[in-house]
Amino acid sequence: MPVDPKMRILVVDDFSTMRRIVRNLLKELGFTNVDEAEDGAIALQKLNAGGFEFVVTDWNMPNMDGLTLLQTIRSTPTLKHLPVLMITAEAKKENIIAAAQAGASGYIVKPFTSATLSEKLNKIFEKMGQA
Amino acid sequence: MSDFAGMEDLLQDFLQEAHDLLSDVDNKLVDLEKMPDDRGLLNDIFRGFHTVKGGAGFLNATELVTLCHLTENLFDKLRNGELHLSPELMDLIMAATKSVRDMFGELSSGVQPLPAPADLLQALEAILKGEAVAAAAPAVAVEAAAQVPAGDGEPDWDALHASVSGQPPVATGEVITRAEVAAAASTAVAEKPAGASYGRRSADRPTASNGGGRRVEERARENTIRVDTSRLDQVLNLSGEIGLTKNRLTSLRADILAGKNDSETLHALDQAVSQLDLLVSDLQNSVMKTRMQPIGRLFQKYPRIARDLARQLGKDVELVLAGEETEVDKTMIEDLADPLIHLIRNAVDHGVEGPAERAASGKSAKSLVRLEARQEGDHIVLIVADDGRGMSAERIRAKAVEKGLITEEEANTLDDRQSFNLILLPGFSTKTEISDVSGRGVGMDVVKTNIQKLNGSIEIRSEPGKGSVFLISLPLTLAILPVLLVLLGDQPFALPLSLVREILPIERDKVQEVGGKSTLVVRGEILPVVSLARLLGWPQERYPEYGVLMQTAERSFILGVDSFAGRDDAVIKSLEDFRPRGVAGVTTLSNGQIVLILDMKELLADGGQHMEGAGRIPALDFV
Repeated sequence: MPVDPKMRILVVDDFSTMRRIVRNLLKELGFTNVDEAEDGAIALQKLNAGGFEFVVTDWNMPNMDGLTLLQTIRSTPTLKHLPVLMITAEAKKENIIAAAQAGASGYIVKPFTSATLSEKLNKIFEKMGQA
Repeated sequence: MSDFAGMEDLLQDFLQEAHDLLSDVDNKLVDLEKMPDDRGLLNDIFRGFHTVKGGAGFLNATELVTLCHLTENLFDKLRNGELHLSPELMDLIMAATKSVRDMFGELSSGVQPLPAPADLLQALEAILKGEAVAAAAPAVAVEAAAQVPAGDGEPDWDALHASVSGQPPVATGEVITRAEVAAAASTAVAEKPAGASYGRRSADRPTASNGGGRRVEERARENTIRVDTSRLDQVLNLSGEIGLTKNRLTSLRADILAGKNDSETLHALDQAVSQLDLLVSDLQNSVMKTRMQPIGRLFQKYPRIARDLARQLGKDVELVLAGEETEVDKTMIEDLADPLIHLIRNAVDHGVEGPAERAASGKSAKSLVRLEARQEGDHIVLIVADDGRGMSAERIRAKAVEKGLITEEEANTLDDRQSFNLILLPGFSTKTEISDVSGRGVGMDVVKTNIQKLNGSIEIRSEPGKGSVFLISLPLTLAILPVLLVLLGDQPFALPLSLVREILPIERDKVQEVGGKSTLVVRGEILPVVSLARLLGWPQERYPEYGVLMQTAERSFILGVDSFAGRDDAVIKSLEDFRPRGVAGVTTLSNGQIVLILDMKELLADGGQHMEGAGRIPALDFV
């Protein structure tokens, strides 16, 4: 499946500097149609309003954390197909397993470069193409 | 010079946001001391360090990542109940927070932070290891990490997927090892510099670089401001509407110039002008609001400062905040930081008593210092109040005389309120022994000067045994200054309305000469009369008919003028290249006339030096 650079991506993080970093990295990769949300609860509102094709979310956030967001996405019929890339500062075993069990499409550990992000995205796109 | 070429914007954003986060963490730490088992607090603090760590990683600020990582792990154990908060642990956490703040300072001056003090890192690691369930794991992992190039600690996502979905357990084992390696890699990074930093830095950090850093950062902060987008939208909306009204006026002008002046056209003109009037004042308000920030941002820092100081002095003090949501002009917030710190330190150091003295006077062991902000009409009022020992007006007067700040006679004419104001004089300090914290006799006069720079005033109330209250009153904004327009002959001058108490006629036969100085008695108070014409160096052509009773922090006096032209909200234009003494700026009146706004303090200072007779300010300078 060819990747559409116009793809609408939601970046979820409570730290605005981090949202900007992710946004800039995505821009470097050619993705410019990016929206932001400050936590899982706000992200869910935006996602429910429709139009998003990809979610990049932080794990540790107030109100609703990234894992709960992921679980909610997977259990919502209209959203469950959405690819979700989890970003976190932790590379702990139990975190990765929890993310995998909740149905994350990918997992990326901070800090990362645009090359790493690109690699992760491509893997996800490949899988989506196969499916 | 900078280690952050190409990342300056990112760095600025990070620092601003991380600073706010850390202030929040500081406050939560103070709360945590009271409620050590509050999981919500522990979670929030954990997340604070975690977030800073994540951002620092992108800046390659390894040392900051390390320190945050260790502290975060500590909070992880606290929130899981593996560790319990003890006073020693709290001190360690506070030290870690301080070290994080120091690193922000280094970052803001464009250099990568040096490692945190070795003893701090060691203490953190010791605590983490001492109680850790899997104490052996990190040691093993460090060895493994040595073989793995940095950054290659990524978990194999595909393998993990397979393992979780029921592949042979070997795969899981492999993945987990990699994950551990990744975690350990950062631990390894953590340990290496800790050892290397021995001798490189003692517990005392290089203060010069520190101070420099802070200054750079302050300058950077002045240039940026965070504004709620809805406020910007409002500004945009209003300017759009003003554009529409301008178009309406342009077309009306064409009509009128073409000779159309029937009542319908004039009515339309009247409407358009009224509308423009309304829109412009709305726009002014909206633009002003973009500069307004909740003062809570500033208040946030203080509970921690008060706590540290109280601990140092062996006192139990709680700083209670109120009105954090009150909005204040951004530049004012920055200029208020120092005066408020001083007042709070003063309250904790001098204001409240030690535990023994409190017990003896039947007070609760814990003393309260209240920091409050609220808006009163077009003013912001800030209050620093303590429930301590209060001040004795009598003792203050005696001290001022002893220090030669005033004469005995002058002291006798002062009421209590005026006496309290004496502590705002340079060189005044009631505590005989100089404490490390506050009370070097400098400070209170700086507080007063800073507040006055903001066109504000400070008032002190105190009752022996009950406590003291410092009341700071500030205008809502520095951009618009309410003024009283006075006339000398036909020439108007603007006086800041904040200094004006009342207006009274000067009856010539009531003016008394006391020691060669003109005075008037107003409700039992003897006040000097100063002629504005004389102060400006103009010839005194006629006897001033009216007096403006003005009150600054240090003196009350009556300013003699010929007449009044009303009051106005002046938009101050400063005279940057050419600024005569005694002139704060200029403003334009509705009729287009340009008026000087007088700086009374400067005028009086000059007047005191050069004038004799009626123009001279009599000796009661300090009142």
